[in-house]
Amino acid sequence: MSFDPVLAEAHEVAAAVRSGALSARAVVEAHLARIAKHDAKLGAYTAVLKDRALVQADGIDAKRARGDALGELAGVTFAVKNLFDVAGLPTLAGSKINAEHVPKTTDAFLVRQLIAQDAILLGALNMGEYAYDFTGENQHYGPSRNPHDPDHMSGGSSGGSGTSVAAGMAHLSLGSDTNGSIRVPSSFCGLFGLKPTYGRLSRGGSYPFVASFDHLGPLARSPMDLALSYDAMQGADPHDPMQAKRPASPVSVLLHGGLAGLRIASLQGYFATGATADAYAAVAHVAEALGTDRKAEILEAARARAAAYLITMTEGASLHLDQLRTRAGDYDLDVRDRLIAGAMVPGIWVDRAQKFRRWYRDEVMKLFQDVDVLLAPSTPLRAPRIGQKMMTLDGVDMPVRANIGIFTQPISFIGLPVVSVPVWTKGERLPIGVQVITAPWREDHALRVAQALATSGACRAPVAALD
Amino acid sequence: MTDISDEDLKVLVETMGKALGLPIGDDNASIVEAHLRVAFKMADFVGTFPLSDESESATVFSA
Repeated sequence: MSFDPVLAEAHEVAAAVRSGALSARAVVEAHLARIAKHDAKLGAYTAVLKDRALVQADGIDAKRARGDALGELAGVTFAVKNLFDVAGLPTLAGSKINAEHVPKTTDAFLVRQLIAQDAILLGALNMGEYAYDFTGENQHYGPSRNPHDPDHMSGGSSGGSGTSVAAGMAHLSLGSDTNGSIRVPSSFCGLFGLKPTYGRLSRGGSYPFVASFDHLGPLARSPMDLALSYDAMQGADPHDPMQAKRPASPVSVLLHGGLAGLRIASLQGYFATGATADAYAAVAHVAEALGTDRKAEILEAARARAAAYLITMTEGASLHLDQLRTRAGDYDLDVRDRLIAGAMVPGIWVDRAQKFRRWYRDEVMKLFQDVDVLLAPSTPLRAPRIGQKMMTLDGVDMPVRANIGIFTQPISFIGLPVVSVPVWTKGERLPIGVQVITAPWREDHALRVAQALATSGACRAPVAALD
Repeated sequence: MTDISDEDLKVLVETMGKALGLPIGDDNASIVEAHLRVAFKMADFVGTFPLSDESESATVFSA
């Protein structure tokens, strides 16, 4: 064995397992040992499926011994935000209330798709309650901590998804992204994260938050790992009525296509004001690495963020209304009172927001006639300290929880695909992410750019050095 | 709408809480009011955008 299966990237592990250089059992045992050693402090997992993972690993090793073909993700470990259904577990969605639910009998669609390619499920991951969160904190299960500095946030709401992969406690994780919940932990934990086009991947077997914004996707330590898992997860699922009726569009074969023909621009206006210098420096670093000084602007992005805010609080309130009436005391207080306020928002405001949404979508589509890729900060700052309630951006004091997603919300509002790429600055202990944004269904463009950045060394996602 | 007074907002939250059967009490009334005031601000911003009468909603959305 020429490499550590914990430190190796997913595609390298899969190649080693397929060749017989490494057993799937050895991969799983190495990860279980790392989880046992570090997770009590980091808080990534809410359930570790030791027996199930070992049984699956042995099955993969037996397949290889028989000479059967192995899948593209053979022996790759993954874990899922605990809003994904996992057989034998209640789907917590970060809540105390859902812990009383009956355990599921089947896995979510995306989990089954990954397992079909011989990836191995290690467990379920911590998250912000009901996904209404950007911090990775949770009053019931504790915070998922940033492995690069455990005093700092992992980002949310897919907090455990960021923590687990950055800590080397899984090769891949799945998260959900309604307003930024894959891109924020990717930024804070220094990972590559993919939020696909709205409607591309099935949400079957996942607990919703805001149905008209909800996306599912992977977090990983390389663009190739994102691409392989994304390809594995594509496919039609009759249980998600909003899934687009489009054929699968594999991207991993396109990953090394380079930048030829891609017109790349950094977003100005809204996306170039109101953040820390770190966020702008990261965008400038990526633009320089890509050899572009082109600029572009999305008009009315601030209003898009406001409209997303309104739709989120009302759709979320609608989902939770009955439960708020009877179980209000069992909610995370930071979540509960925002949902209660959302129930009081007049319907005409939501109608206006949805009409504006269509106008905004049409305007942004015009921009893609002149550019293929847009760059913007993923977060306005590096990971704040756990428990931090306020932050200062551009001289303005504001609540942390509601404002970490100011740059992600105007993009997921219209379902555009995004890869968040990690940038490390010399002397800084924590990373920060940059959004690589493309037109709908052009995940291949975003991943090609991410691959070029990884190949050049401009972006990287190392496993955190843990004590 | 953002000009709504603190007192009017308090009454609104209390009344809506009763109408919707939601728990509003001393422990959370002021927090709900603060969240709703932010929503008012957002709604004012969205609502002042000039949309045509023929504008279609994106309620059922496809990218």
